[in-house]
Amino acid sequence: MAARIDIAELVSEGVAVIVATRDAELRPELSRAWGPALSEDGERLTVCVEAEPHSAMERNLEPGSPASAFIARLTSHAGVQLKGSVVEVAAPTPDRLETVTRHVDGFVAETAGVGVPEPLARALVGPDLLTVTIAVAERFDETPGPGAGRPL
Amino acid sequence: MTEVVDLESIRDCLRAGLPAPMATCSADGTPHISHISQVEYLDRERVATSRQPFNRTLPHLQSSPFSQALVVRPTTGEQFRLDLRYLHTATAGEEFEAMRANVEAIASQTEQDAALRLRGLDVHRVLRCTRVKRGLSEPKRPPTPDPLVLLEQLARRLERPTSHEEVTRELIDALEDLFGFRDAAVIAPGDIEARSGLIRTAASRRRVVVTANIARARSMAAAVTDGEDPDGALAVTGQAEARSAAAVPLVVGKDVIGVLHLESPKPSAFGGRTEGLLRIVGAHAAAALAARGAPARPLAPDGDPPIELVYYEADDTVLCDSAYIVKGAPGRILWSMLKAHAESGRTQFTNRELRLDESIGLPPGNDNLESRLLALRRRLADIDCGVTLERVGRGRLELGLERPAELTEVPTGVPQARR
Repeated sequence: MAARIDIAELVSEGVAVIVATRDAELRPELSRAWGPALSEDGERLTVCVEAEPHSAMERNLEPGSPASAFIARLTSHAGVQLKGSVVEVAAPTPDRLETVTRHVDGFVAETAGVGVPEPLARALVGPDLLTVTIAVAERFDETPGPGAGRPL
Repeated sequence: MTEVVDLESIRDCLRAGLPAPMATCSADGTPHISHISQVEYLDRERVATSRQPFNRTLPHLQSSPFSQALVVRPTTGEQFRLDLRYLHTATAGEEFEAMRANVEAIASQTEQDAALRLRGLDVHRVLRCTRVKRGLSEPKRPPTPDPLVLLEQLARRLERPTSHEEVTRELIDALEDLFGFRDAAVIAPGDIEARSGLIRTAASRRRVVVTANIARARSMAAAVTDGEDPDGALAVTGQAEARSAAAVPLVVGKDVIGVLHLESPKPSAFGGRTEGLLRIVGAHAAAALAARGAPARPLAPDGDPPIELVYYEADDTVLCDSAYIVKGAPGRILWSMLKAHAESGRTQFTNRELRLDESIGLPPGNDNLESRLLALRRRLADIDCGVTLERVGRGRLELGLERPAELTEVPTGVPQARR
C-alpha cells in the first residue's frame, strides 16, 4: 500500500497547482495558481490564482462559490486534490508575491526534471493574480495508480 | 481581452507530452480536476481525451457535459483553454485504436500495464478555443518547406537505390537532409522483439506510436509502479539526451517488414502534423524496401558451404574461411557481434551496447570505438569475405552475413593455425 501523502509537505514544494471553478451552468474554468500555502490546521488553502480581468475565472471567484485545487509534484506525479469553497478573494500583497516568486523557482527546478526548459516553465506563469483562500472540505489522493481518488 | 484561436492552429499542443489538466463538474456542482495524458485532434471541431483506469471524469461528463482542458504549446509555453462539450465515448474504431497504440507503448514499459490501459476515448465538441496568455515568442526560423515537396523529394530519393541495404541508407540520410531527423534507424523484423515497447507496439499494432516526452513517460511509469524506477526503459538507441521518440511500422500487405525508429533531443518533435507525415514516410519506405526484395544476407543459395569463422582468444584474431580478417580490440568487437547473431539472429547493434559489453573490454573514457569500427567496416569491405558491417543510423550498426556461418572459438593455449 502506498504511503499516505503529507499534504503540507507537498504544498511546500515546487508543485504544479491548478484551480478549477464553475459558473451557474456548471461550465468549469481552469487556471494555474502559484504560491500555495496551507494553514497550520490544514483547513484553508491560500493561493494566487491567474484570473484575467473580466474573465470567467474572475467572475467565478466569489466567496461561497465551489472551488477545487489540484496540487502535484511533476517528477513523481504524487498529487492531491482539495475541494471546498472560496472564503476570500483579494489583490496579492507584497509578501504573498514573494511566496509566489519562491514557489515559481521551485516549480522551474521541478519541471526541469521532466524535460521542460526553464524559459518554457517560466512562460507558464501569468501576470493577473488574485489571492484566493479556499476552505477545504474534502481531500483526495490523486497519485496515478490503483489508489487514485481515495479520500485522505 | 480573450483571444479566440482556431483549433487547427494549435494541433501541435495536443498530444504534446505534457499532461493536460481537465476540469469537469460533479452532479452537485463541485469542480473536479483530472490530468489527461492524451488529447487527440480528431477534426476541426472535435477532440478526444484518453480515459484510463484512474481517470474518473466520465460520471461527471454524463451528468454535466461541459469540461475545460488546458493545453501548452511545447515550444513556447503558450497556453490555450479548450471549452468542450462531451459527445460520446468510443471503445473501438480507428481513432480508438490509434490512441490505444500510443498508450500501450508507454504502458508496456511497466509491469503494471493494466493500470495504464486505455478504457475509452471520450469524444468532445470544441465549443471555444482561447489563448490564455502569450509565452515566449517563437524563435525566428526560415520558412518551413511545403511537406508535399519534401515527400516528393523523399520518394524520388528512394527510387534510386538498387538494393535493400541502399534503400535503408538513403532513407536514413534523407530523413536527416529533408526533415532534420538526425537519429533514425530501421529495425529489422528479427530485432523487433528485443527492442523497446515503443517499437514492439508499433509493429504489433501496425501504427505510428509517439512518446512525446520521454522524461514524463518514465516518471509516470514510476508513479504507477509505486516508485519502481524504469529509467532507461524507453531509450532504445542509446541517445541519452533523447526527449521524444517515434516508431513507424513498415507494413507491406500482411507483413511488418521493419520499424523505422526516430529520436529527438527536443520534446514533442513528432507530434501534430509530423505524425501524419511519418505515416506517409513509412508507407513510402516500406514500398521501396519491399520492391528490392529481402535483404541480401538471408539469400544464401542452398548447398553453399557455411562461412567458417574462427576466433583465437590468445590475440583476438578472427579468421574467415581461413583468411585473416582482424585482431585485437576490433577482433573482440566483431566476435561479440557474430556470437550474438549466432545465438539470437540479431543483426543490429548499438555503439552503446558495445561499450558496455564486458567481453570486449573497451577502456572506459577514451575507447576510440568509432575509429575502431570504421577500420573494421573498411577491412570487411576490402576483403569481401561474406561478412559486412554497415552504419544504419547514428550509433547503430548492422551486421550482414552472405550465408549461414559456423563459429569456432580457440581458447588460449591451443596452437594456432598458420595465417
